Amino acid sequence: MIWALLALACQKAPEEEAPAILYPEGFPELRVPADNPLTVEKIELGRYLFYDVRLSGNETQSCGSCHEQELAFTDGRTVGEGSTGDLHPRNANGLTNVGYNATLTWANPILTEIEGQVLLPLFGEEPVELGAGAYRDEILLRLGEDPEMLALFQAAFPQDADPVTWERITQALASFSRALISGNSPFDQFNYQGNAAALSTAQIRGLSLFYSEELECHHCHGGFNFSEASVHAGTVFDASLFQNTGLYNLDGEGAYPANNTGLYEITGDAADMGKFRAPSLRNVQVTGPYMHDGSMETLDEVLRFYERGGRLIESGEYAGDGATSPLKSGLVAGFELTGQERSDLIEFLEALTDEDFLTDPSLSDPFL
Amino acid sequence: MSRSALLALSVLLFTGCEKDEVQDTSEVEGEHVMLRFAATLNGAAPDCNTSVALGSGEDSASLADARFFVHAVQAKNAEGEWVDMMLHDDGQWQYSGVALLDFEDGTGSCADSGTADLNDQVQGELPAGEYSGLRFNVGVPFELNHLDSATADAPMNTPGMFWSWQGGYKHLRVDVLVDQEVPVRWNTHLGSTGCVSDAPTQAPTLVCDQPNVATITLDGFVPGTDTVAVDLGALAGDLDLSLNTEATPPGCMSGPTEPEDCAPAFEAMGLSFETGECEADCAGQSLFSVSAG
Repeated sequence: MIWALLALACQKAPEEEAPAILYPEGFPELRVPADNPLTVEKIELGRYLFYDVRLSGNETQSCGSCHEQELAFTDGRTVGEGSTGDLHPRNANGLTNVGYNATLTWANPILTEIEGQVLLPLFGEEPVELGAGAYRDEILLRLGEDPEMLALFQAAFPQDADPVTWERITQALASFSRALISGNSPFDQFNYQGNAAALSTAQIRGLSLFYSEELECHHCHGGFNFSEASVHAGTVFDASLFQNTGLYNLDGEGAYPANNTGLYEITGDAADMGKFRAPSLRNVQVTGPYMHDGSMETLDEVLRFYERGGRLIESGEYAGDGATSPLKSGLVAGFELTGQERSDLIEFLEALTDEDFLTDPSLSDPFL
Repeated sequence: MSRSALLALSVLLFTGCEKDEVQDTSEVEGEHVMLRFAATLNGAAPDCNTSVALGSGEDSASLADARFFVHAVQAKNAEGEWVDMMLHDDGQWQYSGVALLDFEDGTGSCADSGTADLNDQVQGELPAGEYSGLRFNVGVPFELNHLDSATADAPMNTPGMFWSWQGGYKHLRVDVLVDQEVPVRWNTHLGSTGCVSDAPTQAPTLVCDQPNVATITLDGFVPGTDTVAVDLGALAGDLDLSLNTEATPPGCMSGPTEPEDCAPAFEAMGLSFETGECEADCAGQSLFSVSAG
């Protein structure tokens, strides 16, 4: 009896035996909802679903259409284009390390789980993205009638009599999204893996600039994920996560274009006008165009914007000087760079590109 | 075997297997003590949504952040000896003898860097007895100052308190937003400087040139009864907060290029700006005082 107890007491929980995710050196464990623990099978089902055009109403687009692996899961466009041709007001987010995002999308403080976020591109109507809304039942039939997909569903959710449901689809998509972990860039090799030669001297100079108090970059883009708006299993403090960087100032009072007011759109608080989440800078070299509306083409343009401490738009409907916006974050105070410093900083940002992540077959389109 | 005996046995067996997770308990027979801190800004409770006159008085400003770490907390017993107060790890505010105090709620002008949670107390144990006098260091000790904040336990992973560029924490962070047409920040970030490593993201192996850790002594302080008053405005002294030294970050980042911007904060902490150590035991500090019973 005692031995039986002893064995029982020392037995490890079965899910600990096969980790679904191998974390890169220096990375904390993901925060995962208790009702959707990560498994290898769910991640694999999620991968198939992510790339499956049958998830769009008209079977022309998948999640992967706007989130391409070689572009760190964004699409290279100014703003996203949905399956029926609708243009999204916003630039498609890259999905690098999206499982660590404190909140999802560009500016929504209440959207904290990917399971909830994936409903937006699936069923959203303003704009239509995948346009699955009117095809809810048909899409389940499309998937359930495919023996290969059905087998993947059954492997991922063996306890379900009928696993082909929207709840299970969102759970699998969320699981695959959490597996999109990038942590083997030259910076990681230098910083976490002890390879002093992984960064050039110019990149190390750029790194020092990045972390300087003069530039203040790391206040919003700090931490292992190069975004302070990150959480993980050990996070206990709820940080404030949205900033107005002075991109627009239409009326002298800090107004942003009406279709893109940021946090204000959700909270209705005038002080939240133009506040957006600081995205991770990992793989930023390949995720342009930049900003929530894709309104900057290059990293050079982005750096000059922060140097100036806000953007001046001289004419047109968005004319105004973001640098004098009363709503701009105090952290965007401006600074001066020499040409050499600017190029060092860009070279450092390029050292955040993780080629393994951009080409990892286990994250790629299984239908190709 | 009775049911309760079985339960006791299984608990014993269970703890036997999980030895790593058993908390280190003090050998001292201690009594629980709670130290309360009460911060004020220009005489009023800190508020992220109200402007008050600060510095030279020509500027009004609202709080934008107010947090600091303490460690090496000691109380003076009846024999006049300094006795260590053992701090409990609580998974949130206290870790390994370090506690984080937090007087900003992440609203209003604190939204840029702050957190919603607040903490005005330090919990721990002292051996039973009478005490008169309190001593503590403001900041994070070197051994813990260069942890990787991503994987560290709370509060060492709290956002906004990690000073990546020198691989350490901000010992103290008190920021205000100065009212102007375009509001400007005045930040007081006290941290260790002159920390040498190959890159800002790597930890130094040698103690930093300027630790900038103040040792605060409050004579006559009775733990559990008195309160530690924290006069946040003292950090601004009588500076004109709208005049920041050109080409330096707004406020004081403890850096060597901004002696003028840093003078009042270092004076309020009793620290020498040159050495980063206490001047005359930090006796001239004006940030902390005893608020009786």
